[in-house]
Amino acid sequence: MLAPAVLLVFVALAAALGPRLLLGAAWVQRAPGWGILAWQALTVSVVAAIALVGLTLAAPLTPLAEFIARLCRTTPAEVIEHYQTPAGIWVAYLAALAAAGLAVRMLWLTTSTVVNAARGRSTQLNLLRVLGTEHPDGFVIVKHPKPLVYCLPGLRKRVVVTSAALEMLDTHELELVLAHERSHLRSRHDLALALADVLRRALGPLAVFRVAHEQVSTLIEMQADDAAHDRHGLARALVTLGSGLAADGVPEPGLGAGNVAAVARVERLAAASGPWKPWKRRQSLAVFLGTATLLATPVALAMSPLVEMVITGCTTILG
Amino acid sequence: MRQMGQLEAAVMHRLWDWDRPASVREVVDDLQRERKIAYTTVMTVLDNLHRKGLVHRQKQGRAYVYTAVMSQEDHTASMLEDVLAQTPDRGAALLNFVEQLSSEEQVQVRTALAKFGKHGRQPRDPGDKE
Repeated sequence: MLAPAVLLVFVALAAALGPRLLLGAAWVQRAPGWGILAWQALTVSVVAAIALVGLTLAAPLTPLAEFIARLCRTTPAEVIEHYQTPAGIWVAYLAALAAAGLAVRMLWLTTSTVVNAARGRSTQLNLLRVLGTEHPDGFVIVKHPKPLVYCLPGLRKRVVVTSAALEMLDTHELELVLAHERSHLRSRHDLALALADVLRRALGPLAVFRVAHEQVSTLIEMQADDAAHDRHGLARALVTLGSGLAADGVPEPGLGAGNVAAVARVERLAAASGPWKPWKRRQSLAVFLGTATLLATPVALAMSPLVEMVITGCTTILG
Repeated sequence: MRQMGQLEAAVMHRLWDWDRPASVREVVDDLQRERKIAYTTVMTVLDNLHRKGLVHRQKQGRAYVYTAVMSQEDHTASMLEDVLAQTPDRGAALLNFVEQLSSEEQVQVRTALAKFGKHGRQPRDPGDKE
């Protein structure tokens, strides 16, 4: 039937137009929290649609057809009739295999991401216990010539500040940077990043997942920036710490994606220091409805043959 | 748990200062100048540090002697390597405030920073002003 084809069209459209729309939308940076939600909804809906292409193609297989029939209180024969493709049963087998493969891959990547993150954090925490000095304001100081501030999310959350960073920032700037880090920990930005990371690694060949990962990593920083009450002070701290790393003359190999983000962040903070339109409640509502629709669409498309089946069933009875 | 962390730190700092193999007895004696502590507690701490790969141990006679695997500076450097490595594959283990900026980007951010002055004095919440 038509469901797999329509779902494929959805995948193509969402993967091509979605990023273009979100990259061009000013509200994404204006309200980064909603922006993160929109990007995640876009990628999740594409993954869901891809999985559902497999499942709808596999629906005519006996066990699956029986399962769907039980859910919809109809007969397997009816389900098979509505999901059958002209390509024959072996396409159904292939699709089932591919869908199972995708599921296993996602599960594996999720597990390895979680395990790796936990392992990295526990190494850091073990070393911090012996290398760090607790500051009464709730962060750990580590003696090091490079100015760094970072946080370790999770259950045993920590904010780490190097001695060099402590020297370069004044008390006010430090307070702003700490507010930024605590916002990361409070909002569990690590989880948002982990989801984007898993999807990028699972379906990296599709550009939408790479762009989404990059955007989510930038937007979580912007959202955390908004937790600091003085934008100018935070921007100053950002420039100081971002420039200060080269102070000891050690050249940094390779340029990470974080750099582009740093420039965008300072520019955004500067723009927001001028007259910035307030974020309205109806804008939140619009984004919420948009993401909900986006997420519901693949499911609705996959179920369309069932709906059609119910409708034709009704008309048969009525007729 | 916190107590344990402080003890581990105290033991490591001694091993770093001494910079030679030390027995549990030596560490206990030194620690006891500051606080009351049981031999077995220190043994457990050293055992933990060994398990975590922070100290080497060698059998000397009937007891073990312990040495720090790396100097304090090397340890800090290796810990921060994860933070400094600018790889997207770092995953979500930690979140860095800002990455190293190239010289070109430093010019860009300074230009952006200069824009702050143009809007006059910084109000406390600029979002409210329309």
